[in-house]
Amino acid sequence: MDNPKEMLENFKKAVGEIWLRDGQNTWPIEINSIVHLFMDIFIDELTQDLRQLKAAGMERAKIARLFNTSARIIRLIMPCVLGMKAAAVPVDELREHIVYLLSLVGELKFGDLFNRDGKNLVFSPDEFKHAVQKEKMVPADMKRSLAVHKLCAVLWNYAESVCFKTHGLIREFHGPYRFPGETEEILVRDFYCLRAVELWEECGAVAYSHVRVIAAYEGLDMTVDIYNNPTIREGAGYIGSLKSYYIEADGEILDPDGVNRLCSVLSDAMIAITTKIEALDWRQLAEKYAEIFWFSKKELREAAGGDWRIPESVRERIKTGELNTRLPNLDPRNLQRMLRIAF
Amino acid sequence: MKEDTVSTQIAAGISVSPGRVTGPVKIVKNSGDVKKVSDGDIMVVSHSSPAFAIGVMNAAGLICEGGGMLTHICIVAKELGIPCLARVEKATELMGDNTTVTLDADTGTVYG
Repeated sequence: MDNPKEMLENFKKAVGEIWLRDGQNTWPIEINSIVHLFMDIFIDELTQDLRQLKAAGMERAKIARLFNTSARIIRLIMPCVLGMKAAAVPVDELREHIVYLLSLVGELKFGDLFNRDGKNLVFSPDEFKHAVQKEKMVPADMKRSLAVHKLCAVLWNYAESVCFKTHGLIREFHGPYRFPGETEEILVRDFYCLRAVELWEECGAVAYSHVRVIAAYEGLDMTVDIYNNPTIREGAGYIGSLKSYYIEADGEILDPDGVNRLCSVLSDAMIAITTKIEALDWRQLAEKYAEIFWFSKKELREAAGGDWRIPESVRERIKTGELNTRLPNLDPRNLQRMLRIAF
Repeated sequence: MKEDTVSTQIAAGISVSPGRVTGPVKIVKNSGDVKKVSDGDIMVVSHSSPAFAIGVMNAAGLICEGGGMLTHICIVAKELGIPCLARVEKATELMGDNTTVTLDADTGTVYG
């Protein structure tokens, strides 16, 4: 693992590269305009919980597993930076905290922490052998490939409708892996917390909590960045390149009818949730965003013996606070500058 | 699908997913609008919302006023292999519902 200074620089570089490619994602509300209302309280609580668990002798690997996935932690880091800036946390303490969060990410990943090799390798070769079973792979024709990718698209957008921009809470894409001696690249798309009824009652309609899509592609030349975004060679397409796949829902294999049924249930739930969201004002959206952040550390908070839900002080602050209109207008160049000087 | 039925450039943007298609425009502004998108339509959006992905699944092409390579609705278009342009300024004003346009995502141009 790199030394702390290198870790911070490599993290900034990896995030900076993504920000350059990313379009503004303001749905359902620009996150930078509301984080000042709760993120300092969130990071304070998170820090306390981590300290408490460490003081109780819990190993770092066990603490990391309370976040479930490395994607969840990595997506929390930049909002935490904003929270710590808002709380005027000294820069050394801020850096120490980021390095600790990155070390938790390292506990949940086998491969390079910053995906500098273009791979997001969560599984070690041995874990891959147990988690991805070649004998379960079924050949994909165009019709099946389209159905698989429609499901992936629905799952991804369902994740965004449930937890907005913090969809690292729900999804983790990892790979590309290879079976020994073979050339096909295997991308694993994991979707967790699909029945997040704590956030939206509509999620109760989904029968499964965890869906894993295992897809073997030929000729895509795929990379996966630190935020789990897969990128493929220009001109290549997922649908025509899928050679074989299988889909597990809570550990059971889904057949093509099951895939179509799940797609339909997720689509209905997504439309119900987004219709509800479209009727919310900015304060209600800010409160929901806060709920999502608190939900992302539910297991950690409960392990520390606390109530995972948002404290009353957050609701009160959102009720009386104002939108921050300064940060949302930053262009990519200024975002890069902000990243350079932030920590 | 007919090609080259229209030939005047009316807008331009950044190609996210290549390809060329001609079809009627369907402007989508909220979750309810996704139902009006059917096979062969070119979906035009001012912003991204997760529910819009359902419209993209029926559409033959996607035009976004904002967005970029990592905007979710654009990722969906790329995953499904349909032509998609992002950052097409004022697209929902320049194009009307049911007007026919040609989306050329190979060159980043919209003809109408």
